[in-house]
Amino acid sequence: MRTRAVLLVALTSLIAVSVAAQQPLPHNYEGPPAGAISIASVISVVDSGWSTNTSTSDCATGWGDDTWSLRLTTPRNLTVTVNDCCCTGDYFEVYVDGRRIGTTFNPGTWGCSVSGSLSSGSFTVSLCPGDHEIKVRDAGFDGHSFDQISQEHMCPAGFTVSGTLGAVAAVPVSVVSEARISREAASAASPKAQELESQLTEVAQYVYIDGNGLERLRVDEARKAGVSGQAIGLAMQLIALENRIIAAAQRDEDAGVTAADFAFIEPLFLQIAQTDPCGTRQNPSPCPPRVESGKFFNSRAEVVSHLQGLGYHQTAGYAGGQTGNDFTHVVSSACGGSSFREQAIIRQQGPCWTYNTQGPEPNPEVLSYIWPRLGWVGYVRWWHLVYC
Amino acid sequence: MCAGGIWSTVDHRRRGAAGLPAVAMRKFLAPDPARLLIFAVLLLIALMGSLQADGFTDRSGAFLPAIPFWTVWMFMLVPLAALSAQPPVIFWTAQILYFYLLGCLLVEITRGVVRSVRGRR
Repeated sequence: MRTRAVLLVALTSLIAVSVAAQQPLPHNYEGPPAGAISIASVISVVDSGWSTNTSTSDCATGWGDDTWSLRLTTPRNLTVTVNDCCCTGDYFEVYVDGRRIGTTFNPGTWGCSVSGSLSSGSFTVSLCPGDHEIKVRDAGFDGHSFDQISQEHMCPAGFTVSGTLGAVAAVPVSVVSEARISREAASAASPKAQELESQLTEVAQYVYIDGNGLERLRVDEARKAGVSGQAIGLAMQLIALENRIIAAAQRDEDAGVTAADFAFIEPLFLQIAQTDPCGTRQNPSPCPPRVESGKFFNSRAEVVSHLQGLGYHQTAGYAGGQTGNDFTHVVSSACGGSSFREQAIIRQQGPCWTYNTQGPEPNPEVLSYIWPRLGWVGYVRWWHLVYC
Repeated sequence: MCAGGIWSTVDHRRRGAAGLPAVAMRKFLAPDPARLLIFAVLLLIALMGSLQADGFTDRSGAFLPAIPFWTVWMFMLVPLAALSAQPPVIFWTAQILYFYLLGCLLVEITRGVVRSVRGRR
């Protein structure tokens, strides 16, 4: 008997909810609060605006029935516009991620039985990529009793909420460098080694590893892109040799390669072997490109914490860290010790924080490690200020 | 000031053994134009080096990149390497004290060399 009663109550509630959900809102949306059933819903939006006719059924707190969940993939400005419907007296607070970004004007008149202006307003906020929650609260119920709200037919209250996305003002990136090859360094290298290196560089982007762990060359693509036949030939020769070694290793056998097998690439190998791994002014370590992380954070503290999690520390003041935005992560190198680092520079982009990295590069925190040679400090300064 | 050198001007008989190091130290550290000039030069190198270091973050704003202020500054700072990870206030205070001491030492060494050359003549 008791079970039947529970089932009956549950069924009745279910029917009431379904009816309320299907029933269109009255023309003025605003009716007596008694028995109003609030159907809270979350409207998901990805990288776009919206416009929704909505209402507030909770006349105690005033929170709107709908919540907008906005997912952004790039930093954007969001403008939320709220327009009241029907009866004067409602005005609205707009919240983004729990923070009130604005309140529409209070019309000063209140109730469906009186005439007056309808409140409206637009508020803009800059948002970082990620998920954001937009909520609206009807503050027009504040200071009014349930009886007053009921007499004036103010609940539920209808209104329209729309969101539009705009571009965040771009912040120029002050530190953008590109990988460059030193003319000075190039002239010091052997011409044959230089030619081999440039040919391999030309074809490098068309080399890939197949499912068997062997190297392959996209010959057609390379030809279409205008890569020289010589470069393609050299790459195929080198790939064949490397695949021979890889295949032998996979079979746990000796590849049986001799010095003669490497004759075609010997000048380049000799140059690499003779090059100072730390770099010299005549043959400096390469200038790596500065790479944008593509990651965005809501605050400086967040980006700093992220970098610290990756092993970065704030660069010492004497090594360029005086702004507090420069970070260093020591990386291993053939030069040994802590002589090379990865640099990260954080910066604010619109409302968000992001960072870029560059490295490996000679580590300017020269007071924190043993120099590989006496002239290292001078080389580090030259590399950073003149070369790269 | 200390034209005669710090040791030659100390009256051993009057000061006594206990007062000797303090007097010698006072003499060694006493400011004079030569010490202050060298101190100022060292400090200037440090400031220029510090300005140049900003170029490690933004090369476009590198300060006089052709002059190796930073290199000289780093060589001078080797004895203070252990303090390099300290907060900037401590590091710079240590540098100021160190540069003054270095200035005094350079002046004393120079004067000692000059005296010894003159003594041989």
